[in-house]
Amino acid sequence: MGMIEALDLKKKYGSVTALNGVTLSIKEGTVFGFLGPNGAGKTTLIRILTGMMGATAGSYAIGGTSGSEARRHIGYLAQQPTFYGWMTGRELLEISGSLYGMSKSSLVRKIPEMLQLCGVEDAADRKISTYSGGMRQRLGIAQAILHDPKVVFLDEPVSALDPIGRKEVLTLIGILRERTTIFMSSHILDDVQRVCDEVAIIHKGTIRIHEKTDMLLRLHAKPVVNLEFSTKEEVAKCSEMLHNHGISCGNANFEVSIPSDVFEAKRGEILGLMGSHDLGLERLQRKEATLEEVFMHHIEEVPHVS
Amino acid sequence: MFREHALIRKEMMEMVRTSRLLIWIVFCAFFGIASPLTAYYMPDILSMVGATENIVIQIGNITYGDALEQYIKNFSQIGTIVLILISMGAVAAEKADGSIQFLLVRPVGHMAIVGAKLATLAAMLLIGIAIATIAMGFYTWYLFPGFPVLPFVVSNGFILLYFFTIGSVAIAISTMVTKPIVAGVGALGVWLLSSLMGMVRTLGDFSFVKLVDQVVQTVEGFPFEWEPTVGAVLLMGVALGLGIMSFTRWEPAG
Repeated sequence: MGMIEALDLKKKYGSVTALNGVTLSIKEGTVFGFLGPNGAGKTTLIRILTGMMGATAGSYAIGGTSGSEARRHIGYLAQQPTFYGWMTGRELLEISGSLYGMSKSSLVRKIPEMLQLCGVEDAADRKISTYSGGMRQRLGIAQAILHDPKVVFLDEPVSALDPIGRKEVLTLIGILRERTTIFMSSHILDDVQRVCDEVAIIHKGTIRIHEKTDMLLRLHAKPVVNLEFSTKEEVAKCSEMLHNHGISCGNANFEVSIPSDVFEAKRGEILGLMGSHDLGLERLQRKEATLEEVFMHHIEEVPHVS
Repeated sequence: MFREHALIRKEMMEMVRTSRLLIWIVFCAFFGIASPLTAYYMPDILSMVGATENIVIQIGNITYGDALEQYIKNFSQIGTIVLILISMGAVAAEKADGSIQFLLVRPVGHMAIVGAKLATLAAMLLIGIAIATIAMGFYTWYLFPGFPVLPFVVSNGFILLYFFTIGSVAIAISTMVTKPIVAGVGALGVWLLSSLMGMVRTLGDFSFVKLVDQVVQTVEGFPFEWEPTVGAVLLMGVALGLGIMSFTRWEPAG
């Protein structure tokens, strides 16, 4: 049995279906990436699993428990964490730990450890209202893991951060993987590919695919060779020419992309065509497989992801 | 037990840090002192006003009853508005800014969250009314000989219950809505309706606003009427029952 189990979870708001029968099983110790475009149902599922919201149908279990009992085993960081601005960071952790039933002695021991781990020890006695976005996010992670939960839910933990804050939080998530099971939603594909062991893609309330990250890339994403041109006219001309010769390709902006295996098999023919049609090829670059291709493949209706 | 303590500690800290306790204490202290002084110096104030207007204003003997009347009037009118303003954001403000999620994902029930807010309200009222009682009691005893101090102290229990009722109603409505101003208007509406209800025969005896009338009854040594107390308990029970039910079903938006 998985650490997180969801069975046919459904959520409806009137006539709108936010979740349409979500079934998931996530093993202990996994860093799980939950991908989907805005409005796909990511936050709704997290809110149901954290007990903030009821499901219209279906069931779930966290560490084999459900309902209010399950809440003892989870830590949660909201998409835009709003803490009490009049509290200090240290007080927030004290209250948080006490609400999970931690004793005073364990709070005295654990709080400095968490503040240090999350890099907010210098600001621990400052009011939270004075914290930057990155500091709030790191404090949010500290309060989510203070009580050693079995599962930590992170709802888009880096989407509102600048590059430095994003890097800090991702590094922290990397450290946390040794401590707990992490359920992280995001629409930033690079981040998920970087830190997650498993990935599921949700779209319109339905899980489209759920696989280990490396397996997903191996099975569903292929490296490509990009041919870069200086004008869009050349891109269109090249694309048409390759199609006419039965070579599959795609194009975007100033690039024509050809699957790596196709390019390797027809390298001579392709380069020959470039020369014979007088196309000014600027650059030729091999690009490794990314989650973006998998994501785009499963979210076909969505033209691009921010 | 840790959890309930933590919830109450959070509420107490919030009450102090957001100056709600300070505002309430200053209000109570001010009217505790001002009510007997205003009553005592009223003839002087009126004669000064009369002198400037070339008229003579005659009033009868000023007694502790006048001070008591001032005290009750100030408290039951301005105090109600102040208390509604203090309590209307109890849950609604946390829903509006999202901070309530901090509590909802933890293993604490909705009832415990509201319970902690009520406990804190009771503590705040107790502190403020104790200060007002001491101030009013001392100055009235000093300025008006024969003031029955002990019955006055006891009678403040009715003021405490009156404020706890209006505060509980404001908190209960706050659990049902997502905007503090709506909770404030709602609580004000309940107060006005209860005041109107107080004018209706028989049914009006159960209006909680009549709790303040019990202060004079008690000070003057008359037995108090039980109907307003029953009305207050019933109103709180219904409001909090509906509030907790609505809060349990509430889901964060967006």
